[in-house]
Amino acid sequence: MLEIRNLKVKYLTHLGEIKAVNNFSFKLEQGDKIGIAGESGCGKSSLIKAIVRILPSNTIVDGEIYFKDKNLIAMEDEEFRKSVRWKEISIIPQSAMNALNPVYRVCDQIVEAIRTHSEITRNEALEKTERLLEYVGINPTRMYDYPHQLSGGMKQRVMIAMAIALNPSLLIADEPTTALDVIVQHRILRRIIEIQEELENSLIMISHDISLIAQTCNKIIIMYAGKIMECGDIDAIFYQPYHPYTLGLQNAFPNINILEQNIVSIPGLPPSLIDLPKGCLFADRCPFSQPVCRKEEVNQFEVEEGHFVSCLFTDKAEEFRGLAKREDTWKMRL
Amino acid sequence: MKNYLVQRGLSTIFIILAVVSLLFFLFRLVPGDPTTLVISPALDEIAQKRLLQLYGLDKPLYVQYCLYMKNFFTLQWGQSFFTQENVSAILWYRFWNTFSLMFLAVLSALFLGAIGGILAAWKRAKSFDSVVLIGVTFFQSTPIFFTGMLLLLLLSYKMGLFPTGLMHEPGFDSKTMLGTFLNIDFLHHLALPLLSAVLYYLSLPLLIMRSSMITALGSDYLLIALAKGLSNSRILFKHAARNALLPLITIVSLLTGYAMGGQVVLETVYSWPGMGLAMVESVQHHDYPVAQATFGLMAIFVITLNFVTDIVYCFLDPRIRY
Amino acid sequence: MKIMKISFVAQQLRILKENRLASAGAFIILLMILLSILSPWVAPYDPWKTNFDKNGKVEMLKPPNNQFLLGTTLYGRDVLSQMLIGSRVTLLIGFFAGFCSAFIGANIGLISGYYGKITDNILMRITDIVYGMPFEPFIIVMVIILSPPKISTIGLAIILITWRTTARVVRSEVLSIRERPYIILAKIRGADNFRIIYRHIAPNILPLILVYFCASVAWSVIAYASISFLGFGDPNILSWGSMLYEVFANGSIRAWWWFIPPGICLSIFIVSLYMVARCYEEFSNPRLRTHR
Repeated sequence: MLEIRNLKVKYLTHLGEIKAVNNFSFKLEQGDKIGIAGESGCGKSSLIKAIVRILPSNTIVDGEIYFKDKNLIAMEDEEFRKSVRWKEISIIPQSAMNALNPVYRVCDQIVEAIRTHSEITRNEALEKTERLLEYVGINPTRMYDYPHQLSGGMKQRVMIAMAIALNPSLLIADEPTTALDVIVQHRILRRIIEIQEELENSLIMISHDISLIAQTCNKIIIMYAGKIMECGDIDAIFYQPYHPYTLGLQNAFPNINILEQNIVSIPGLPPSLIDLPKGCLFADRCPFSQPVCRKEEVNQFEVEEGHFVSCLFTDKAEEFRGLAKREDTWKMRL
Repeated sequence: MKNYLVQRGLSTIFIILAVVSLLFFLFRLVPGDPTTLVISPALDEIAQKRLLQLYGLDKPLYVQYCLYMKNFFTLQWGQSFFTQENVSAILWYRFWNTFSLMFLAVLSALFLGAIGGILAAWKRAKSFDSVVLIGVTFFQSTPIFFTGMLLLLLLSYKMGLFPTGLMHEPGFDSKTMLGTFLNIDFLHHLALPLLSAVLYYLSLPLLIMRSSMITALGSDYLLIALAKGLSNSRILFKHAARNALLPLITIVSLLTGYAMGGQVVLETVYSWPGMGLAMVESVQHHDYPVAQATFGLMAIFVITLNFVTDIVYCFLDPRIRY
Repeated sequence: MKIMKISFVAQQLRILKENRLASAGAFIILLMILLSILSPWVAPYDPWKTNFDKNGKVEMLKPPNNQFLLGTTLYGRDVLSQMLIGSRVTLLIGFFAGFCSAFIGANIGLISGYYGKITDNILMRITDIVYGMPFEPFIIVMVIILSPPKISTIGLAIILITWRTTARVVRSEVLSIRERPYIILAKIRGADNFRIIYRHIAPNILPLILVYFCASVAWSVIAYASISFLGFGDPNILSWGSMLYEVFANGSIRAWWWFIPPGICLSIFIVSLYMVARCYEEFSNPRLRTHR
């Protein structure tokens, strides 16, 4: 349903070109729940903004994004606005705190979204809004409130209601629960999944929290410095990870069953997006890198059906998995 | 919200009382005998004695102060030394003359400035923005009387398109108050002073609107509005501008205060018979009652308008209302 | 490691250099200051002297010619010389009153914002009262009271009313800085209030104060020019405003060479001040910058 081919997103600043997304290629089937995981600043938000075309004016987008066989990047503004935005693809933003316009009532903002893309009367739209708010778990009487009168969790629910209002084919949730406390986080996440299953649309969920993705998605993309390091079914990646970066990430999550566990983190910092290194972008922090890794850009290899890895040494995966569990493997990089 | 408004209301009353009192004491500092403040040397003995009693000039200071405050707020502002008319009668006409010009000027400046600010923020292209900023700064920097004189030279003296001053042609008479303002002659005379004033006042609303629009356009809700598939005009006006409007309201009071001061000079250049000209003329003629009352009236007008603006702001910002 | 200390002046130069308009503005201001200082030597004629031609007639209202580059006034005086000499007073009162006004306003803002409670209440009430009075009318009233008008009294009147804006703005900035961690830390370290205000808070507000210093100078210049234009200026002092007064009072608007040069000089000087002020404003609030 959604196919991204060689997507590149560059921000033009007076410091130079910031290459936020680098050769991102990926396929999404209908009904998929894909999680995109990665460190802060790895290009996740830029990717989303590129899909919905809300990037700022100082950006250059290259590549193709095919949605239901139409190239979104090449589409005319008006057509995109009328037929794709919100109707087919909607987003649940990271922080609902500021996503709602403070001077308009909540119901008006949802009604606006509905009436922009359908020919129904205001009353009908208000009725629909009531049902939507109930659906996400908000008392419909609150719909006449202003955003500042609602709590963080409620605001996020409003955003979810607004996002599903037109029953889009693709729902994109950008770190939907980061700004909330753990309990509310759990509830909201569960609701998003329930909704997605009931409405049978596809979901892309962005998070820096892999465990969250593991709970909710069926496929995962591991992103680093704007490039896909590894992607595939969630089980495959969790139980049989190939890429050294994925191995490093696994270590960073403590296992609740093991006492006195030393957390091994990946030393170093992500590369500068202005001066990207040649070859594999993870090479500088990878404990297994060889000179050949820095020669040319590494493409995705399909190691099994639907499981792609951007590494030259996928055959050594078993060995890497063993080594990665040891602290000293990672310390050597220093 | 109610608490806030009550507090502001009390504050306004306090400031008005303070300013009027200050006025009393300031005029006491005028060199010479304080009696010259209220008693025109042109009057005869009996009239002088009557005024002396009316203003309690033979009584201690605090009594005079109380009498002054009472007189002031009951609109008993004495008589002009120059024309012997009641000051309140003079100022009644002068006030509306000033108001007609000032109201239109401030309103036009706000409207045009807001539109200009929205456009300047929307088109962040370096050239357009720079041109607008420089242009606006230039008009703000040119003293209003200089602009006035230039316009007079070009459009009035050289090209004869507009009259050189006053509010109407000499000999104009109108039966009603409204009739004075609702006719072509008035508009013809209004043109140049209005233009001078708008050019001068334009910059503040424009710059404020531009900067608050830039803030609004960079906000998260705007990005969501864009993602929702709303049209550009809707995003610009219903979402961004509506939010950017709030800081603009706050400067309305500032602008009016600014405009009140500007009126003094503007009316002098165009011989517009308003409060500003009254102020200037009264000083030239040592006509203290008029000077005092005019200043007081101007101050009260500005202070009251500040309060009204606060009320309007409260209604427009739901974060305060609820 | 040795930390290089850049002098205050060098820092300001660096800030200004980034912004082309501000650099132009600063250059113009310095040029005007220089010209006004050198004016007694540069001016071709005595600005007060009535000039006579060969036949003993007054060179009245002569348009620009070879002898008088900017023409003559109604009284046969050289406009160019008047403009050059007149610049001294205009600039002097602008900078002096502007500086005092910004200084007083900034201090009141600092003290009011920092101490809060009663001090803040009283000072802000006073500021409100001053705000309630329209600008030019107040100065006119002061002119009445302190008559006969002299440049010092008018300067005083200008200072008395222009400090209000700086005070309010500085106060609101101080209110937000007051709660920041490094201030609280300074208090814990035992710094006394004076030190905190002037060594910790004030330097952070300096760009903002500079914005309002430039603006105050501009307002003072406009104020004095307006007052002179109305005829309430010091009659013995020559300034750009007084030149405009003479033109207007004598109905000589058609003598464009007489009133346009001082008017344009006023505009250019004030524009330059606003350009520099804007540069500092952008410096203290980067979002206003216009580049892509």
